[in-house]
Amino acid sequence: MQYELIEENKYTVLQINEDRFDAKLAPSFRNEIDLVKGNIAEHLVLDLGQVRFMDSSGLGAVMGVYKLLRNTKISIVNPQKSVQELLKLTRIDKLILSHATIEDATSSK
Amino acid sequence: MPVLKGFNRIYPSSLNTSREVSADIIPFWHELELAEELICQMELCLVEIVNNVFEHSYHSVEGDKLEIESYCEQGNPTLVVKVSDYGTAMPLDLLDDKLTEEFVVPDPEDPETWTVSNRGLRILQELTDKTEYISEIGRNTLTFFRHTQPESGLDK
Repeated sequence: MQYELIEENKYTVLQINEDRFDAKLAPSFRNEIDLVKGNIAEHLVLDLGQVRFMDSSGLGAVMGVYKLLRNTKISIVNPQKSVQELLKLTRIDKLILSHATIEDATSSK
Repeated sequence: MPVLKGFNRIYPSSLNTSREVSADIIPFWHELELAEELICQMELCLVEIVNNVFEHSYHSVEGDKLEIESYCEQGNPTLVVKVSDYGTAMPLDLLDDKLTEEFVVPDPEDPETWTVSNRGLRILQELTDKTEYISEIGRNTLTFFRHTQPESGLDK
């Protein structure tokens, strides 16, 4: 999985540099999270701006991280329309909030 | 019902098959002049079914045969997508149950609601107008239908 991890004081940005977040990518996403989970701050910001397509496996991987990092706030930033619609359709938008920018995500309560 | 041009290809099963199918079928759907939003939704439905076949019908075994067919019926324009496999058939009641369930609204206080199974089939229920599943003589075919014109009242 192509990604960039940006560590700040109070938050960590995980930028997914992939076109598709699907069943093929999900296992490597889980593996990478396992490797970096010790470095994740109190707020994990998932930057999905480059993800054009997400399926239920990708969504399941995100929910797996939500479960794994139970004491960590998780936000999504910059989702493309298809990803926004998937989050809305599956009601996950009620649990993990999306924001237009990292600044919006990190300044929200 | 008259049918416009069609798409019919066979793929070997793998975790990558849904990507290959998407790359092949999206240009075909563009040729049918389907709306971009509809194409995105149908791509999601098709990917869910192809991955379901790999995982459940073929138990994640690579190289088994999977056939994809798609065409558009004229008259009351409807996109038809069929996914066929020769693996383990899906229990018929599972599909019926999942296609009538609502999505569980995740509750921050209830971890049981965070990760649920068969989310893909519920996505299919939400984004298509009709779904059929037939298993006979060792061949399983899941077909989904979606009207292609939003004014038909199916503006999902």
